[in-house]
Amino acid sequence: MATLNLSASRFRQFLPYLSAAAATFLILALITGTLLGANFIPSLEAYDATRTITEQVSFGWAVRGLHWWSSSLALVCSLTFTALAYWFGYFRGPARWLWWSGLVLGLMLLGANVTGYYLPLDQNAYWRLSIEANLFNEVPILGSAIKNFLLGGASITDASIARINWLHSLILPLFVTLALGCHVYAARKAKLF
Amino acid sequence: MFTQQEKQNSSEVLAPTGRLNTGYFDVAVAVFTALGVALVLTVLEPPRLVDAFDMFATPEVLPEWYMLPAFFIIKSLPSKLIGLALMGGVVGSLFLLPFLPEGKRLPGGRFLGRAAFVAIHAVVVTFGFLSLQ
Repeated sequence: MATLNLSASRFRQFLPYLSAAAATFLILALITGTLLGANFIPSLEAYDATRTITEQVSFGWAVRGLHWWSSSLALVCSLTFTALAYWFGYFRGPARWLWWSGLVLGLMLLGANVTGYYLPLDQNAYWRLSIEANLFNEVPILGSAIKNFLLGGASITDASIARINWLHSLILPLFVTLALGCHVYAARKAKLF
Repeated sequence: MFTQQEKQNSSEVLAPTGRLNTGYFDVAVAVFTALGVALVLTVLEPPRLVDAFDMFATPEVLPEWYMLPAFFIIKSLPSKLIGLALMGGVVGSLFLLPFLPEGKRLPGGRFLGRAAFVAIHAVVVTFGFLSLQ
């Protein structure tokens, strides 16, 4: 038990800074994402909509850039949290729910980053969507079902972008918020604050 | 000059109990640093927007930084399915970590865990850089 207490106190030293930064990035991503949603058109014309946001909408470039960078940096914070929790052995006993909820949260942040990358539908996004959807197609039995779910059909159409936009701007933020609530509750239960 | 009692009294006046909590100050610094980093990166390195997609092109597509290690693993294994299974296994084993027995009973104990930490992170970063080649 002594080692656990020691690692807990070491782990606790980083917490206020790292969690404040992570919360800032998440809130920033949520705000800028809401703003981007006002001008984004989830269809195969998504590229033109992104171009308009970046070049014509007032401060559109800043909102898009902040959304891009805050989501990337939130993922960096999540990875740092995971690395620190592992380094200080803070995943056993009362902290195990913190570890599990944190992993779920991190995976959903990864999912949000990946789906967000597809949405501008430029050359890179289109081909990555195509490559990664075909990668999931390799999974035995469930493969084609996963691909159909992600693309809203067998190939990339308006429906695919609408589906990915739905995942990115409704489902993932909702579940990230829920998981974050569980994560903070688990931290409270583990007496981290 | 001062007796011990007077010293104590004067310090109590200088630092009353209701003073500003410095913990909040630290958190505010972290928040503003985070905002500053995001703003500076937005100005210096705005997100890319390459050409509109072309279904008939065959461009060289590199994934984002967080996918580079996974990309390398999938690229270097004979079958994509093995790569996917391996990645699923890594994530699954992270979920099983709390069931690992306490390190003290293992030979090497804490050292082994820390060596594994450094090795895993070094390997993942190397994979990422290798897929940039």
